[in-house]
Amino acid sequence: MELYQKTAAELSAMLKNKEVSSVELTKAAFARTAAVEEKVGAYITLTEEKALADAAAIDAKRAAGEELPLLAGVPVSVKDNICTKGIRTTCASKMLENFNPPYDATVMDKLHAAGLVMTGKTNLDEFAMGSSCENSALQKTRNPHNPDHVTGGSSGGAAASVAAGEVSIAVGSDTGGSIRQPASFCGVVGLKPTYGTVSRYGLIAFASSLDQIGPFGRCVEDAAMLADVLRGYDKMDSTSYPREYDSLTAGLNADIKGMKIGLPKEYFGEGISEEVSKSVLAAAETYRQLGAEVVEISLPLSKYALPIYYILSSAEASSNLARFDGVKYGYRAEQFDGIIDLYVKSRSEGFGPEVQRRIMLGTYVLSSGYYDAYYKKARAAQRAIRADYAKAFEQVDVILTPVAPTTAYKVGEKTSDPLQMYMGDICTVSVNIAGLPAMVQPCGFDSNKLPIGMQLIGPRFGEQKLVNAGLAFEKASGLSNIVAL
Amino acid sequence: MAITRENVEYIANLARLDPKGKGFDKIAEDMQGIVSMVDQLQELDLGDITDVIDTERKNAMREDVPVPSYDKEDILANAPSVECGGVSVPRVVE
Repeated sequence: MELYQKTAAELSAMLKNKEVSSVELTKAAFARTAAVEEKVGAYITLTEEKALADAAAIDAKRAAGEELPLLAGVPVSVKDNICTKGIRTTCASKMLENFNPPYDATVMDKLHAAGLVMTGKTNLDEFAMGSSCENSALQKTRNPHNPDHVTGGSSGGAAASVAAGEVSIAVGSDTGGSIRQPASFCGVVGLKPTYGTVSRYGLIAFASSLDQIGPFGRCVEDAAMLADVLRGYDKMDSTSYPREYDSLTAGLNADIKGMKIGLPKEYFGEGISEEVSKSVLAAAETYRQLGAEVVEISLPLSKYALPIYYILSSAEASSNLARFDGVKYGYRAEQFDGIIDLYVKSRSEGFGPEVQRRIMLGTYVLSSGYYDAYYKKARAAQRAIRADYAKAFEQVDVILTPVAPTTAYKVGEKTSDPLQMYMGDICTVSVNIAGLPAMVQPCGFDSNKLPIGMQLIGPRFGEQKLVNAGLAFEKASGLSNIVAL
Repeated sequence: MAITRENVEYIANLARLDPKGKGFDKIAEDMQGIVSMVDQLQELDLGDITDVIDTERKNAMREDVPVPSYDKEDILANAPSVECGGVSVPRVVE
């Protein structure tokens, strides 16, 4: 078995036993990347020199007998909407193509403190707006299971880097499914933590009330280990929840006898492909055999999740992206006539079509005369969605659903019709609206050998239940650590 | 809600986007479909849930203590145009 095929948990044990050094691991990660990156295109920026220096520093600490955190010395990729001091952070946009943040995001401080070695910055849909990674203005990323198909998005580069064995773990962000849907399309594990769990300080904002940073891995244990590094209160993020977190890794337990799992009937009907439905229902059967109690539940407001999501997220995006005006940082048009024209031309030339579309929708739903009908109503409906879930969690411990209506579609298949692309988010957006945690992992393959994912949704701060349920299924199904290519 | 070209130009102006910019015609065309999709929300009867105030959440405040800020050089290095140690823009006052 090659180093690139190993999980982060295995690499952590090897490092601890001094069977391998972090420099060797880092070199192996870049060698694997050199071999497959042309087909995959996961990265916008590779930071090999810095990674090797960071790895050597960790090795020196280990050699000196220092007690190091679990993941110290393990390579990790980071989505390119997370600020890295002195390393360009582009959001896959022409607007920020040459932006070098003057500070590190809090999650970068956490990765450094835990001794992880960043390999580079991964591709995404521009400003994390998209579901296929095709909206990147800078890079094309392809699904490692079949390069004719998309990776999903927006964290497509993160998912692809893990699926292709370039790294064992990655950091992404999720506003409406941006960790979970690419994890599903690429056959890896992705966790969207409870809102307020991971600091968003230094995450370039898309929709602040929905955005959350989270981990990718090729097995549940790896996702849990990286989540443990990322979680924690941060005074620099006013939405960070002030509380302590127990280690998910230490609490891992695959015994789920008596666990109650809900299947919401609204998620298995019209619009969901038969192959996907069947595979997720087969997973439910596995859970029954493992001693869980599987019951049908109802989330009656599910059909309104998509309009609520696109109103709230676009409204917040239009406000958040107002800062990109060509003045203090980012792209400035070369030709303009006065200050207003500088704003207009810089924004029109710097933002791609999908970003402009969302800003337009957001500006519309916030504009005078329409605010009450759209934004205010969506905010009230958000409360109703939360109440829907609260009621469901009175009956069950976790909820099992599909992640997306289909497996990874072909490159270019949906780019001309944004509405069709939005419809693909139907199974993931309500989790962000309600601020809940959810985890995605592979549960099978379709007839084209493309991965099918399943989603486990938990109550607020219920991550331990998710990883335990996920681990139980992983052990029973053997669908773990799938390296494509 | 029907979206006219006039509406689109009005919104583009509010958003400081150029309705004559490259590819904008397609964006204008897509607006109708997207607005029709979000219009589905209008059929939802929320009963007595009308307010949007979230009483569970409290504003998070930090102590008002001075701390070092970012390095001026690092910040100006990202500015598109710098003059005399500051960001420069076209004349805004006649």
